[in-house]
Amino acid sequence: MRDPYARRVHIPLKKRIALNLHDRYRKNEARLHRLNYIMWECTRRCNLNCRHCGSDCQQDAATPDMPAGDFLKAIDQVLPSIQPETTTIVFTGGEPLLRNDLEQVGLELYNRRFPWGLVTNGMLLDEKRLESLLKAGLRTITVSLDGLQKNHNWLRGHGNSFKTASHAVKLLARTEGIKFDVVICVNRRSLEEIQELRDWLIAQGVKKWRLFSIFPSGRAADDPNLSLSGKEFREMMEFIQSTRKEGLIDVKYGCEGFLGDFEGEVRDHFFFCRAGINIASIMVDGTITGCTSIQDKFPQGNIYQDNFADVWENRFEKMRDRSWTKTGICAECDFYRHCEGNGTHLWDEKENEPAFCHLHKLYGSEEEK
Amino acid sequence: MKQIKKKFFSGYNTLIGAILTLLGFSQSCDPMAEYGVPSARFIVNGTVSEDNTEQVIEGIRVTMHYDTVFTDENGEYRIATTDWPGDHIFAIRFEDIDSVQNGLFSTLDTSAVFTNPEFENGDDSWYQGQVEQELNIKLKNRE
Repeated sequence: MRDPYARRVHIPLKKRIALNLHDRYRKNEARLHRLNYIMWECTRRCNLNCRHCGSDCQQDAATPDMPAGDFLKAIDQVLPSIQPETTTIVFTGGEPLLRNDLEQVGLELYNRRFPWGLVTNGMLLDEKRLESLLKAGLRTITVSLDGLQKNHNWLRGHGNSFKTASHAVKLLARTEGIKFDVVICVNRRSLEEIQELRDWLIAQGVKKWRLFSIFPSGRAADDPNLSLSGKEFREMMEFIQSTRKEGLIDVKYGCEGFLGDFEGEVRDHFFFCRAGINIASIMVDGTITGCTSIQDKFPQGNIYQDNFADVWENRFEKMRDRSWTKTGICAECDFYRHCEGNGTHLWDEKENEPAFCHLHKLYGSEEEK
Repeated sequence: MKQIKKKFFSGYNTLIGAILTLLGFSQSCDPMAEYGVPSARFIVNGTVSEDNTEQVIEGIRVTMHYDTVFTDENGEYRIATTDWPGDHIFAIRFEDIDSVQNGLFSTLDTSAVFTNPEFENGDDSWYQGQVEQELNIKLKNRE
């Protein structure tokens, strides 16, 4: 049976040609398999209790932090086979700033010529900590801000979280020489104030802003109210599209999902899940996988048993050849070749199909959504 | 053999990247920033004028690599970005956003190609200097 969404998706000829070329580009990248982005889940501890958390992290995590030396040993294994200057290392969590040794790890990476950065909720980022991170070579930082005061505090489960996150945003906006952006996980509440939030960010001097939708993982899996309806999802895409046209802030949708005729309109590149193709992650327990959002699915090895370089070179087959994803709702999809089963982190191993289909969300009928 | 294959696919993807840029699309993710790693400044300058009359056009928005400038009263622009010091293809868009003021012109997507760039005025440390190229543009009048 023909894919029912196909009739509702109208992609102009020029874009269709570009998408077909991009399919070939993706295949070539998978063959090249160049590592240029490493994520490190350096802790699972967190100082917040977010409703939508994808990592199921805890304020007092049972899993201990990975010792810095263990992580650096893995980095040294892969160092001879990559170009450090063009390989970004990003610390994620949990909340990375809960670790007191980030500067030491960062400096070690800096001395090996790696650019490095981190993703933070901003709770612990003040002038003093930022200065110390910059001295250790911090190059890029992402701050999560999930709405204006009321909604951010509601989602983050902490009455002071907007105050601290907004302070961090203002601080970074006036800091020279650092690459910085703000990310938001858009939910039904924050969508209502999204234009107001955009204006606030622009007023603070923020130049880059990324919007994600909440996907059914971690704690968010139990709270369907966090997810946008199809109509709301489209509204978000149209908002990104019109804001990009205005050109006052570099806004884009996150990395996941083939978006039909919104491809090329709401982010700078076409959809491409680079997990396992250009991206590797080291989880807090040593698991090696594609990206930290994948969590414990598709483990490729463990730094405590395997050589990181060997794992990168010889495994990740499932992410380099995604033909196995042509099943379930993807089996009959007319756009499968541009998408190949959505982002790896969205794959539902039980159902053997993506837990979330962006095309479905945008083009399915209301009953189907 | 492995190296030859890598060079082939790498070159193949550079070509695809160039074609996608000409079609007005990009294939790359957010680019590298320079803090703490070798960097260079890539500058593109030129004049934007009308295709037939060669009259210069003021107020055309020029976007390249996440930066935006507008052409001045002489139709001139100068736009720059910082990136890894190597070969680059930067997508550039020329866009008339002031409607019929100064005429109504079609959007043009093109690219600035830096191959084996020679940088000047580096600091003998991480910063390797700057390279500049001229790119004059003619836009079609839609009126």
